[in-house]
Amino acid sequence: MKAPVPFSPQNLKYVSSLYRRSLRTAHDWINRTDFYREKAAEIKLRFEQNRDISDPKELQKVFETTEELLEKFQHPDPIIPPRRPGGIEYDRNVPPRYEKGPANFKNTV
Amino acid sequence: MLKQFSIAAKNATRLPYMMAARVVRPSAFTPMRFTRFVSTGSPLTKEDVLARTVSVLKSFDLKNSGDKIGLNTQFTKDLGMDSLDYNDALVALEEEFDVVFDDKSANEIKTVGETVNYVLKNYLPEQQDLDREVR
Repeated sequence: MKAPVPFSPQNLKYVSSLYRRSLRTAHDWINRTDFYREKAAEIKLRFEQNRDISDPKELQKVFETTEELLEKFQHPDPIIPPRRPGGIEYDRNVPPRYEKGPANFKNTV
Repeated sequence: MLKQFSIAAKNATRLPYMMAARVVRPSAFTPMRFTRFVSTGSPLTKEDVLARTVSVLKSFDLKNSGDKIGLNTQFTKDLGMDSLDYNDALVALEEEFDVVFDDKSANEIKTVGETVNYVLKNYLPEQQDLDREVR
């Protein structure tokens, strides 16, 4: 990766992307909203702490750590809306509901 | 040839094909008839999306929360959100509408109206012929 330029628009975009990804990862793991908000506040604090970094090398290091953390905490079964790519209903035709199903099996032997 | 074809087409339209289908299919497997909204596009209206978006945004502590949030409200200027706050809001909206803001569009979104348009464009309507429990 090229050395990042501090306070540039590209940098803002990349950091936003990282932030969104971390929030999504947190949401994958945490089911309860109040716990998730706590975690989100913690994530925000961590990003805020690195707000004023003006040294490109340090910035690069922070980015690498963040990517590593994101990879480390990646959820094995993340929440994906069913009909989005990767979701369970994606690209599939779910059979419609029937008014009456087939008759139950009866053992006559 | 063409004439024949048109006659055949006329006959086909006259056929009560619903009845024909019912004869072919065993009665035990007649699917429930639902109106499909898929062809008509998303059943969400712009007002719905805006109202839900506003209710999600109100759950964040905004600087100028007294102001009315409309389509032209800018996240950073009017609501006093910084870039982290507004990305947080976007992730919350993703959950609300089951859409996914991809990186490119999320970086370009600046107003509430743009968010609403994105949601309307990318919203997947529910499949109507499924059980509500399955959906």
